[in-house]
Amino acid sequence: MIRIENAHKRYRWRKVLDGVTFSAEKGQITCLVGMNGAGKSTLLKAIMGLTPLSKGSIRVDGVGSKRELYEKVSFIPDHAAMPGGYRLEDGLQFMADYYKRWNEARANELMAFFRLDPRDRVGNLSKGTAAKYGLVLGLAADTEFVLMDEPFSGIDVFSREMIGEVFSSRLIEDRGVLVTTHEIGEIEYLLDRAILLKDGKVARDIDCEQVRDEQGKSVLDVMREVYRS
Amino acid sequence: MDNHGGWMETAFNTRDPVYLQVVRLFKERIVTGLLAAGEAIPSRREIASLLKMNPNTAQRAYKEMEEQGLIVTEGNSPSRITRDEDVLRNIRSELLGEAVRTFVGSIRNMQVPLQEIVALVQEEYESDAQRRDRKPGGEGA
Amino acid sequence: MSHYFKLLALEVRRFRYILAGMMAYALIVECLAVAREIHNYANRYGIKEGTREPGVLPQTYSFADVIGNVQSGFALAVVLPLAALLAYVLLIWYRDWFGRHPFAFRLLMVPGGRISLYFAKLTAILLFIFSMLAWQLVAMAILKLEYAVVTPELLKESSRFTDAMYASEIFKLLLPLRFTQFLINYGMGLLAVMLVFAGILLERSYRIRGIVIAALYLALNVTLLVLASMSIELPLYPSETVAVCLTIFGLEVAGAIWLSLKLITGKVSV
Repeated sequence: MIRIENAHKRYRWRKVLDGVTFSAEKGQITCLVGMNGAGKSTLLKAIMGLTPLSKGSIRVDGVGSKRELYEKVSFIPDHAAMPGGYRLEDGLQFMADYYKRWNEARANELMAFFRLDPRDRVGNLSKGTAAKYGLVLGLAADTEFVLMDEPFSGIDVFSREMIGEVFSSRLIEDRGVLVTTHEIGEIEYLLDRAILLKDGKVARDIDCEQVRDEQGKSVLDVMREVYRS
Repeated sequence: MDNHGGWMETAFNTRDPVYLQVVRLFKERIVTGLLAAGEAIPSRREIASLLKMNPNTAQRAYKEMEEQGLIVTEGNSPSRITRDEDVLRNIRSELLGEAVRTFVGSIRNMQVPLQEIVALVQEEYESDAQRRDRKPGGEGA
Repeated sequence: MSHYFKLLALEVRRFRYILAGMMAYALIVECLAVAREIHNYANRYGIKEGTREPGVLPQTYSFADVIGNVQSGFALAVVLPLAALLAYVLLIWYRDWFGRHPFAFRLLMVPGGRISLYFAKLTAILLFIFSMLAWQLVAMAILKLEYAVVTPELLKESSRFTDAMYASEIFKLLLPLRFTQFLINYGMGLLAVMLVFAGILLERSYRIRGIVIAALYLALNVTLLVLASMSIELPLYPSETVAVCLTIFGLEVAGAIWLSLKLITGKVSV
């Protein structure tokens, strides 16, 4: 379980996170929803130690230190995070060099599934292809948690479909997934939980099926209540 | 399975629980004969990826179907549609009843006499059957 | 430890073309400068086949003399690579933060901690500097070959390799004869790189505020060094002066490493 407690973050004068508390369970797909600039990416980066919180604590399976973090949690940012001059195969080699849990067979399987050419250069990838490549880099390691930052944003519809298929595949099964988005659209059915951020706080923390069951509302309905009022 | 058995054409609505929509989908397929009694069905993981849904929800749908006696799972073999005639009959009458209730509900306010309705239903039923005869292969439901 | 070496290899790989380019550039500029110098000298004495004025015996022109007279050519050859290396002290960090697919994300998430990353970048810079230095020695040997080929027989005179080297002002600076001077030059260079690294990490951690802090931090360190060097004027024994300077130097190195590691492991932002 990834547990975030009382997270605060300010950029200069603006309070981006103002006491955010939630957790993401293993074996579930949890979605952080919020408008642009609501601090979703900041939260993911803070979990990965890529930016410090002003206040608050982050624990992964009860552990607060970063020692084992990177073998346990993989982060898929909204870009490939590789030098532009690298060929895709160089990036795969980079991961294989540093990660004990890197699974080469799975990396190749994913490259084939997304129809990526290992000889292409990172710098020449379109946004959609870069997103797919990011997924390969993030999912090929046997980590227990996967964080994804806006995997669908700015990407053509067919790439979106392919990426969506990953969510319902065995690549995700048994892992904990924390994904951010500002538009719920196509991933509505994929989610177990949705956490809605507004004004730096958690406005709603919902079990998606429960809300449909008990209130007959879609996640989008709940979003409307939160963001249009 | 050609076209993945038609599973991939499914679209859910967002306001009803997805697991209940999956249960309903299975019931419709049983009643329309797309799934036969005793037929092996896709695993939870397979159905999740065919329907592009959350594996946990698929799990929950299968659990619900097991509880309703719709499917049976023995040991490690794949789940199968039940052969229990009672259950299958119940599903048919349940769906039929639901459809009729919806229909009646939608025309309730028009205050039409029952005979007229029955006549209209009969007429529509026959012309629909004719249309389908002319277009062989056209799918029902 | 294995990650440190892998990261170091990675940094070298990413700079190899620029390094090779700088080496080629330096060699070409120096070769041209030497060729031109010898050519001009020979012309002054009219030593072009057949045009030589009879009766005037030309002075010989040794390799050391040639090197002593191409200072500006050497400066041109060295200044540009030096500037590139200095720029790369900054770029070795910033190139990872900018671009469409910032690599910093990946580097900071390498398992096993970020200490290796810091030291890999630091050693990479040192490695580049010493590679250029070593290359300069190789270039000198090549220039001597060139001298042997290009100089007309009449003008040739043998000279010692070291004399030739120290005929060059820049070489005196790059490779001081006295070992202590060598240590001082390169020690100060290392400290400068470390201080700049700490400054960069301050900026990457606190952005605009970080620039201000970095400026203050650098000013403090430079002031301390100046004060230490002024201890020569105090009534102290030479060994005491050395002790004062070494202490300040050691403190600054330790401080820069401590601060950098603190920042890179806990404060830096992508």
